[in-house]
Amino acid sequence: MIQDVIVQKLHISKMGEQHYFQVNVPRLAEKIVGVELGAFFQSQISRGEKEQYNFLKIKRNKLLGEIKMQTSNQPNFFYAAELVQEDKNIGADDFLKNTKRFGQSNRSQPQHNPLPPEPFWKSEQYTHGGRKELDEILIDEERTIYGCYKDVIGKRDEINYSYTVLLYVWYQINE
Amino acid sequence: MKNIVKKRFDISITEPGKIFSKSFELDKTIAFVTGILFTSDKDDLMFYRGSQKVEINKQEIFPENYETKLLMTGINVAPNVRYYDIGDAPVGNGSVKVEYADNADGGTTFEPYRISIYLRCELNNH
Repeated sequence: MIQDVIVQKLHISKMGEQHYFQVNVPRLAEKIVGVELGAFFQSQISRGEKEQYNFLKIKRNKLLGEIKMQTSNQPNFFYAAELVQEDKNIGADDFLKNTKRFGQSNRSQPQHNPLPPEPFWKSEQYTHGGRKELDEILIDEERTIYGCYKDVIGKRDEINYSYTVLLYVWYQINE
Repeated sequence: MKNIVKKRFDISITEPGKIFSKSFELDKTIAFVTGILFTSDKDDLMFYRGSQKVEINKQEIFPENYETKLLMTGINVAPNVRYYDIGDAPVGNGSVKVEYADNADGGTTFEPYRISIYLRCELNNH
């Protein structure tokens, strides 16, 4: 059993853009087994409005867009997902971000001008973003996938963001 | 029990928005490559900007534009499960080719960085 992947690039450059696409699955493929999503940004995504205070300190993730896919043999969509920029709550409840650097104590700071506590270490996407896993699906004997990606973030911010959505379709070949 | 060795190869990324291609030779004692892992000295740049193509014995394992972040791991993952399983890829002529592409990203500023490719390999049984 061998698995291989098709990478489809969808370039988005206008607010609210709907990008229709088609993925051609090779004849060798017996089953489609999984889907993954990713994105590269050519323009900087704005920070947006200030978030409302909430005591749990949970931040809202930025929704980039929605993707839906369908095959010609089956009615309705077989895959629908929301693509978010990143998980902003990856360090939620991490006590380390509230601790100070080694050797820095309260006593050494003058009381009239106390410095805000500097985080000793903070969780980031690239430290806690793995391990990635694909969304498992199972579709037999399908040669063409039809899909649509709809931009949400550009429409929400009313800015023409430029970014590339990467769609990975995993399939299985029986030797 | 099969003998397992880990191999590491480095590529220096010196210019933004370019493709860096490098071929590596594996030892003759290695029969299969079973796992792959990407790390970097500047994880954030590789995470947000990187994509790559990987070939082992001229067989494509990951195609062009496959994001490197999908092959990275965080420190919250147990050491024994950090490698991405690729089954038993026969080493054949022992050649491993990596084409790493640095892609412009709106949120990061480029500076030269190094990527490291780790391979989990199975040795020939003597």
